[in-house]
Amino acid sequence: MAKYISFLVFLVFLMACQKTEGIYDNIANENLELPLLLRLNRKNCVFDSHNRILKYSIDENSINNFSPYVEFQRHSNITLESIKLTNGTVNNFGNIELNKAYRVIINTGNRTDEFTLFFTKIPTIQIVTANPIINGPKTLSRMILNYPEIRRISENNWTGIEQRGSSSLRYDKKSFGIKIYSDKSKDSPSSQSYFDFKQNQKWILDAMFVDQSRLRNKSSFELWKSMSGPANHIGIDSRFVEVYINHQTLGVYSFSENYTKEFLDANDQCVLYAGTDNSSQTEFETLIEKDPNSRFWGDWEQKLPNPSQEIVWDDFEALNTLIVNSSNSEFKNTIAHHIDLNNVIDYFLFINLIGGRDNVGKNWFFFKRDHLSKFNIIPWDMDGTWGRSPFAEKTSYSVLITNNLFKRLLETDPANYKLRLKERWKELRLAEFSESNLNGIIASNFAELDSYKVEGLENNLWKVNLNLKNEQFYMATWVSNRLEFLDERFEY
Amino acid sequence: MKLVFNIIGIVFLFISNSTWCQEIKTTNDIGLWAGVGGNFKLNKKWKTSFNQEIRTFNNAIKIKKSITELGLTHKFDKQLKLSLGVRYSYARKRDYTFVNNIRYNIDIKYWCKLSKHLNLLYRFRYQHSYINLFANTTPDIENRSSMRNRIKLQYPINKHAIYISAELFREYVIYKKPSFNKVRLNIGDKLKTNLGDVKYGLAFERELNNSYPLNYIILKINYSFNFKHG
Repeated sequence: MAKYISFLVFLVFLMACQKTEGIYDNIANENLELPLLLRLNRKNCVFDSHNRILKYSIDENSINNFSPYVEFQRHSNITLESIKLTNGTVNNFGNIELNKAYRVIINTGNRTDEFTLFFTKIPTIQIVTANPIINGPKTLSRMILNYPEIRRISENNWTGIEQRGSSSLRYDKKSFGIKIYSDKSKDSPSSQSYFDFKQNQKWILDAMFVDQSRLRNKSSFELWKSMSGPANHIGIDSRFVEVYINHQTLGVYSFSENYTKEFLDANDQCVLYAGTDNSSQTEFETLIEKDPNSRFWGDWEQKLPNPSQEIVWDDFEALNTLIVNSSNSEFKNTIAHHIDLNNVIDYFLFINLIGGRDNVGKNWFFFKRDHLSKFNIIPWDMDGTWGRSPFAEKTSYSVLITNNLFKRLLETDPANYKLRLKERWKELRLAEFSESNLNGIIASNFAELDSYKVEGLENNLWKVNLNLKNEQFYMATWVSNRLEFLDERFEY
Repeated sequence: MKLVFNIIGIVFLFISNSTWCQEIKTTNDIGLWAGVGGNFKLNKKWKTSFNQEIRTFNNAIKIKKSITELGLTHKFDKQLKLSLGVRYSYARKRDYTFVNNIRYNIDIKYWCKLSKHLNLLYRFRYQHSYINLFANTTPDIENRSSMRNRIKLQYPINKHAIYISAELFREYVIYKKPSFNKVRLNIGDKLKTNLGDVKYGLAFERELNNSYPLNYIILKINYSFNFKHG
């Protein structure tokens, strides 16, 4: 019996002796770090394991005679085209070309693997996580942002990430909300600045999936923020990035700022409300019967102060009551005490210019610094603009976008509202709203996307039919027609 | 016997299949868990234990862990026991550096007789480990918990108690959702001798929820001396 058992043990041991596998699509370790593949100048090449593509973010100023410090696994040999790379030292790559396919051979023992390396100008973001990213709660992750600038050190932060959006959640390409943590316990929120943006706790990766141009929201905010004049134009900045979840590319995203207490420099007296749906309530047609006593009041949502700590609706309820229920004379005499009319005029003209049908009920915020100041409108989510609806359908250029607030302002004409509207339109048409300026903003974003080869990337990855040239032509034509229509309406 | 070990060594040299790549993940391995310890019976209800064990991996030739373990068991009745254990281990990490770990565990054990020669044993274990306990900074200390459920069939015959068992591990760590991460199957024997018990057997472990799971075969051997109070 003992002999048989000994033989069995011997046999099992023989069958089981050590076997290893080489892995490229590794899972993260306990610190959500992935093993080194290829690092140039302390910046990782991001890796798309499905297409066996490596990408390295680099700016145009650094591509001539590129001589990076190269790091890879000690047990591998790497050849880039005909250059055998030396590990742990500076290697001269010569002059490199952006968006050109370079063949990379990785030899490890008896195994040879071939990959394609692209040098690209687009900043890359790699989210490393051990779990699926869901529609809340936030999944612990590590976010690494690689800047193209050669001397700029990559950002590497503990983050929580979740899907964001409502109707956009039905699409395969999801948008994400990101919160920064100081460690992996998720107990200690932190702040971080990226690119040249303000330090903030929360950030957004906007998938822009429905937008046929991938630039409507970004261009709209650029225009809004560029508008000069006495009114406040609070808005976010954003940058195009290519996003990777572990070793899988998700294509181009807009990495954006977010309206937080920190971003708005808000104190304890600040209030911020958002319209969550296009309804008669958020378009000021009807007043919500129930008194506000929680985070939501009909289709309005309190964002600041933090509704888990304090519920404050007094001033905003008064504004709603005034717009919906007041007599014409009361409205005319008091509306300018509640809301900054310069800001309202600019918002109305701006939203009409870009055709933001989805921005006069939902996707707008009402912000007020304290009891003594007035409400300001802040735009949000302008994907359905410039001739397309939020579902990418073509929209007419000859429709005035309005709601009960804007209608009553025109009807009652408080504080010379109508004249100021016309004068402001005239002023803006000579500057920020000139056709050449508008086409310039759009064209520069299209040129940026073209330089990142976004059309091919998105079409291959998401099986869509982006045609950025056609879309640019469509937008330019729509803008021209839109300006003509609005010039007539505002008697320019 | 010496000849057998020589043959095993030569076979290992030829069969080891190393496909090196960016990360080298071991998918098959064998190891040895060899230990010696003692049980000290305080009275009918209470027992303490001590065990020192060495664990190897990488074709059983590299040290994976050195473990020192203390235990205390309370017997409620013939069928139900509660145990507490504390373990110190000096263990090798994935990057081959060594760390100091502390683990405690709480066990509930249930025993019943299925037939004259067949016993059923169930053990629930909760364990919590502090990995790299002597790290300089708190965030480097990793907390790891597991819930383990083991079911065992035992066939006592003369001085032997031959057994088979299956154990499922569920892991709780901060950086990922709780998941079943390992299953362990055992076959072995516990032999009573005049001085104590010899336990020997084979275990097969497989990682779960992993694209490249490790299949691990372990030869287990342990000798524990039995002492009685008074």
